[in-house]
Amino acid sequence: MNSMIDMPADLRELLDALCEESITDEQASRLERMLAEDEAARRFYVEYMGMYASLERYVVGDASAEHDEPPMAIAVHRRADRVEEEQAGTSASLNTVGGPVLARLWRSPVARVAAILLLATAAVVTFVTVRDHMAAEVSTYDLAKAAPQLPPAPTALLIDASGAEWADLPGTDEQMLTAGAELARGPMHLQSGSAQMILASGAVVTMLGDTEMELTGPNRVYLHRGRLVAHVSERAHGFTVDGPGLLVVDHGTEFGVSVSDEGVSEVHVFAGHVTASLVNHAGAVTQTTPLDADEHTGARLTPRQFSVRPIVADQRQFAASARPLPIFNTGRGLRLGQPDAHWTIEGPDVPRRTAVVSSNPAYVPNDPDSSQWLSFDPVGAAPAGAKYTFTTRFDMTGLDPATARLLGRFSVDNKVTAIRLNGREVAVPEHPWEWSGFARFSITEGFVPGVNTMEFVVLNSVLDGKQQPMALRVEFTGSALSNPDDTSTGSPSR
Amino acid sequence: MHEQTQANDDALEPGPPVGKGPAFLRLFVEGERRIYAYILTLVPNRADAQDILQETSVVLWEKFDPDNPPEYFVAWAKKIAYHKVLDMRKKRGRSRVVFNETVLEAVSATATTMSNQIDDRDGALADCVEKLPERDRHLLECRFRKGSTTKSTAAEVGRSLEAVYKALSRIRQGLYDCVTSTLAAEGRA
Repeated sequence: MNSMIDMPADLRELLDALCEESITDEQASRLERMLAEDEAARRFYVEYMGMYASLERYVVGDASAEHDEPPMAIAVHRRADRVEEEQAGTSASLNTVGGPVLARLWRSPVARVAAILLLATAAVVTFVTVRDHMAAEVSTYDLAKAAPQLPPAPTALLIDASGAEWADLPGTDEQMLTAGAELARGPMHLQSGSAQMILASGAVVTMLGDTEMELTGPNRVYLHRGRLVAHVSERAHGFTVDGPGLLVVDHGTEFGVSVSDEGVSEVHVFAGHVTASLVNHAGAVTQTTPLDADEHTGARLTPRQFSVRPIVADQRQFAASARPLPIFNTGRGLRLGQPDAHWTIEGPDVPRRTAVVSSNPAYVPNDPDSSQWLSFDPVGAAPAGAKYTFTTRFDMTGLDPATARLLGRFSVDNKVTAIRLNGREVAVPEHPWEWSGFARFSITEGFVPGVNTMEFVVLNSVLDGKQQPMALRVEFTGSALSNPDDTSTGSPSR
Repeated sequence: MHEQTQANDDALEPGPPVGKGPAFLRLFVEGERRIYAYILTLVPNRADAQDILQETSVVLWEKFDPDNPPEYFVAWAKKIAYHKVLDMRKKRGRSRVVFNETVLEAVSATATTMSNQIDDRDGALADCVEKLPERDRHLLECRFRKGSTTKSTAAEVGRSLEAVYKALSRIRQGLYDCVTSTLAAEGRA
């Protein structure tokens, strides 16, 4: 058995650099050579890294329990009664992830693993994973048997970064921070302009320069300094903004948060309500203040003085914020065979009629929490070579069409030959005669006030000349600035 | 759609596999710590290791057959994780600390032969962490907090970067020796 005294000083130095993520290329090469040539060094290395892996989990697991956070990790040695306590403590914040079914599942430790597994492969607009099967099965499992350890995989999609100036950050390629970029967990520094992103939970966050912010979870960010505005749709309730000595939890709302260079924070609520809390250096909440858009509209928090003072919300400080577009993904929230009232299909052999949720084992599996396949019926068989138009409408009343941005992706059996917004052709991305993946598209112009019409023309296979399955699946994410001349708004995009 | 076989056309309604979730979850939860440690050994970067763990978990789920479960779930998982590491290496090249294939193979072999020892050490580590002074424990908690770096930890605890770097190094060394001496005392070293 090794001890540190036996470990070569050179290897110890390299392992320190590795653990603190400060290792240089030269050091990495040296470590690689050492591991290639020296069996004893390899054994030290394996023992040390094994310890490091577990150490992180023991320490973070304990910390996350105290902070009432979604579980980043929970030590395996924890007793069942302690896990029980955590279930009650974490359920509220976990209601934010993945809709009501997953929210229920979150309340159990093993189900958290299942849900994390789902989140692990989350694409930005949807979670194309094993969710359908897992969600049905884990609910029946004996939940007291074990504790989870997987960390979640936070992701977000950058919707709009026009005019944004990004600062250089280690490990971040600012050239990639353009609309459509998928964002992993990590820091961002917007020097000027604004940038808008949608988190995996569905919360829309607008950064207003000069702002340093960090994506820390699928429904959570850390605001180091600067300003942000959050628009939180129904399914993203519980969206959380951390800051220096600050914790803001959404309860269905629209709000702005600012953090000054001196660490003074302000929370301004424009719709709904939030809770704003002071947090001490150990991460524990010391004081919580409920805020709402009707009465207590804002608060200024000064952690160093343990001070929370009421202020009046001022939307002008957070100008240029955006709202989600009220456009509907195909089949979201429905069961197989159910009609989707937001979509119609029309073709040479059928009059216009409501589309229904379809399925096929060859397709990307349906994800009821995000989107599903639509066709005439659950089978969707249609004549070869026929074209069908899938149509949906959305109302932009209360939104400024000139500022609208829409990103989406589709999967199709067999081919999308045209995409139209209000009759205007949109570029159709290259995509194969496939139905096991998605193709992305974006729209930045052609939006009109009031009702907008979106069409997808689908061509069924021309081969064989026989009846073939035909279906379409589309997911959207988009936003537009509020129209100051029109205060009424539609429901958020889903 | 035209590539469908007749058999597939006859089975347009996929049925969820019965009982897959509970069986899978039990094995996964029991083995996840060891799988993660193995991955972090091959890819010594926490963010990358977590990504690979997540990708691995999805492949495991997709390939898991409850009627014919693998005899050694963790060993099976490690194989899949190893291929995920190779995939990542191909995609990323040498942009981060990614070992060449010869070293990966050697480290993987050493990790596999030492898996029982690593398990023993992990058991002892829990007790050693409990014995840490509060100040050291707090420093570790700050360092492992989401998104934190050595620098942000130093700022948070009000110490210099160099002091925090050295303190963390000392804590890890102390834990390593604590584990070694614990096992030696139990006659398992």
